[in-house]
Amino acid sequence: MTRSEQPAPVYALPVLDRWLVHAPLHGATALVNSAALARLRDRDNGAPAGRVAELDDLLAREPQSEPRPHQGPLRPQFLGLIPTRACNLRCLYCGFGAAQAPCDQMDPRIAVAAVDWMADEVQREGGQTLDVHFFGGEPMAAPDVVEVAAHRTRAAAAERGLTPRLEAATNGVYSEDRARFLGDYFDWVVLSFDGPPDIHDRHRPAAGGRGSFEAVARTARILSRSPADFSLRICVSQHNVSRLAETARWFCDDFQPATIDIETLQPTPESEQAGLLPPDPYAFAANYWRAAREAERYGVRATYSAALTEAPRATFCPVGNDALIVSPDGRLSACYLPEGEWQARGLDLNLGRFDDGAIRLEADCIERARSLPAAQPRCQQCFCRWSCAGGCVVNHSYPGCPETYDGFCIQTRILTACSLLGASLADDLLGDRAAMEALAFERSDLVETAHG
Amino acid sequence: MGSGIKYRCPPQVAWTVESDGILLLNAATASSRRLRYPEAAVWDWISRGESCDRIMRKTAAVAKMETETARRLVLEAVRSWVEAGFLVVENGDG
Repeated sequence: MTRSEQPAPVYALPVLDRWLVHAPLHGATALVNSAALARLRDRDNGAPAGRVAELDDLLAREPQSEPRPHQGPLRPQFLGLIPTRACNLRCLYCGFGAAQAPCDQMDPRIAVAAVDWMADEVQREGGQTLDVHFFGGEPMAAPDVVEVAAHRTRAAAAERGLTPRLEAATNGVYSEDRARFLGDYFDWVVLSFDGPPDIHDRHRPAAGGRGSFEAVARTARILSRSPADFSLRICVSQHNVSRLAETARWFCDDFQPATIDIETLQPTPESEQAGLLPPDPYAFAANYWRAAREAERYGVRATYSAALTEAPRATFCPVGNDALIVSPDGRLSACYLPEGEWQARGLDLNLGRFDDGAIRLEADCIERARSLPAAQPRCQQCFCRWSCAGGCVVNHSYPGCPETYDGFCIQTRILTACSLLGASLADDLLGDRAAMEALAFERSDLVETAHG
Repeated sequence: MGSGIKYRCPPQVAWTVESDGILLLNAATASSRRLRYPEAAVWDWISRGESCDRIMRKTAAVAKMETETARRLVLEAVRSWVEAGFLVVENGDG
């Protein structure tokens, strides 16, 4: 029994002519036929036999506790810095408002104070790693802030016997010198790269309308020769969904990234005006899987963040996960999206502010942010409850969001099932549209008679 | 290090970025020097051809010191690197 009053969930969902039984808190997954599922459902009325009994024994064991939000003072896993909201690209799907963003840059003193605060926190908690992430806008549009903060991170870590870890999400459109700086001093770089020139330049034009492909490819080559690990992040629309496998193969051949992150477009008024739409979720699932298999041949891991099943999690959204993000003006928040995006959803994700040279966090704001991912009616009966966990609080699981599964849910349910099934069965599932639909729209995945 | 003076790293000098600083290696003299912070940041900026003013301003920010104190730190670091052959004056009046 978990700490809550509810029994640990056991889910079952149709996969072709069988059922995938998944108990994430027990760490148990099995593929069974209908008769076995019936015996499992009825196991309170008599002992199941054979292999079902083995599964029943597994489910009778003590499950791990439900993942829960942290309690007490904020314990960020990393410090997020937004050096500027400005960006030199005009991506058609930008959800960060870069075209209208002010060009203001963070005062380097704020960045330094935030890094020192984080270093003290890590040391006080007995941690080993001082982890600082850079977001934008485009962080390298404020290179002095990035350089000062990166060097301060390394200095502060050395002073305290910690290991520095620097990560940046970047568009890659800047000089070779700046790309080399990232490659030399950063541990992990997430480079947005949507595919071949016709795709990338259509999705991600520069401010003057020119394509950005050449500059991004050059940065990718520099990173591939640098000590940094890097990930190529593909945003998938209806235009590039059918070319994911080809793109993954080319990325692996030419750039040898550590991972390829494949995520679907989050529609905005601007993207819709430009005729750019999210892909069909079934097409995305099938093409993602092909791309992942292709990358696997090169020893490169492809990821779709909502379908990672390694360990149960309460959320993978920074909100509710004790993220601490510092905006260019010194505001502290739980999310790196612009404030207007949260406010449009009726959310207040502020955590405090940088004031008079110090970090000032508000305890009630921290608790409010922590509580948000738990309130998602749509997720309560879904087998992805402890893996996808609702996704982004601002864009997907905001208060008052629909209770029915949307395209994001459909692709996530299919791909999560695929990752639990393994390659051969996943191929069978993805080749059968009716089977995918049956899985995607199963009303409730919960096996009603789960043991307590 | 004054206005108009530029420095470059001679071909026999290599360096590696380490988690807590930078390691300089001079193949010609078989010597090495480990740079801690904030000198490691100064090396990064000099090796990338940053201007004197920007280096001093950014060093002051990284080391949380007054600009004048940072200026003296940078000048002393550069002097010692030139003296040890890790840097050479490229041009200018200096």
